[in-house]
Amino acid sequence: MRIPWSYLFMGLTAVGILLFFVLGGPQALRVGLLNKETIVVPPDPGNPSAQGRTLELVTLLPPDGIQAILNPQFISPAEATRYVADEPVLGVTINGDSRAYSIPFLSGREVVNDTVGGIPIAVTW
Amino acid sequence: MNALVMYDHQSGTLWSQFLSQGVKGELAGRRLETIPLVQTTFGQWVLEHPDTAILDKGRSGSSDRYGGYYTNNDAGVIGESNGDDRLDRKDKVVGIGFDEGPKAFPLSALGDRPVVNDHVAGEDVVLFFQPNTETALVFNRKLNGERLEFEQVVDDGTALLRDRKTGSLFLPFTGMGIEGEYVGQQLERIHSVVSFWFAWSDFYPETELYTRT
Repeated sequence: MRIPWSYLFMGLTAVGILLFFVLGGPQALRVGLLNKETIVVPPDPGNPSAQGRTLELVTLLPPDGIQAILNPQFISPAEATRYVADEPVLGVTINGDSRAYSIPFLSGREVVNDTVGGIPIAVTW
Repeated sequence: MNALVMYDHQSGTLWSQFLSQGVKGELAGRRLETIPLVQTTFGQWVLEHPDTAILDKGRSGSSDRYGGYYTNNDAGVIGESNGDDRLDRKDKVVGIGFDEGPKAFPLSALGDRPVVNDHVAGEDVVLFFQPNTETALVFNRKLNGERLEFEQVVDDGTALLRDRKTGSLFLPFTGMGIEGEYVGQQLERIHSVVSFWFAWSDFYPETELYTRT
């Protein structure tokens, strides 16, 4: 479930999450199961040849069980003294506007809602 | 198969991160427009983009709460559905092609072959991999109707992409031509993801797998 994801989503403000959450260690801790259901995903209405899918949706946390970042603040590389050189980041450049987001930090927040180069995006990890 | 599910405040629709698609609610089925970004290290990113802004994480350190998970044998929370044993479930791959023709490139096969020219989901692609930062970038290697064939060259410690036919040089982090007949021209970035094998093969059971020849 920790899928390194090198893409950003655009157009919607995704602010909260229903999350599958595993804490490391020899004993995997699970938050209680809230719901489990089979859903049928319709095909993309914008793509006539697309197929739908059947998925099992497992809910382990309520909405905003992990708080997304709604109002990110930014600093310069020189000010980023809490970052180390080999710290994994997600980096994006849109319309000449470059930003980087710490992956270890995103592991605890999952989603950042931001506007980069004038474009509203959601950075997800 | 397991992957992150999000919801939006405006409609309450649930969105699958892996599929880039609404899965339940008012906007189910709708695709989100994806924008390519780069998964790399802080040091490498600042080198490539000295004018970048950096997310302020306050006083948080650099350790990842999932550090143990990245290296253990767990396949997400609810385990894998497909169990494709062509690779170990937590091996990392670069995934390309997705619904149009999925193909996975194991990072272990790319370590000493950092540039791969291939044809995936109907496109001529070049995959560039930087092992020390685990950065993977994929571009369309057709430019102005010509199919380019790339190799890596290292100039003063910097890795560059060189087209074998014309000797033209490109920056691998941006796909920008910097020397030769394609100066100032941009290779088109192709959607790719770095993923654990179990997740990729769960979503794309029919995936091709790159093997060294």
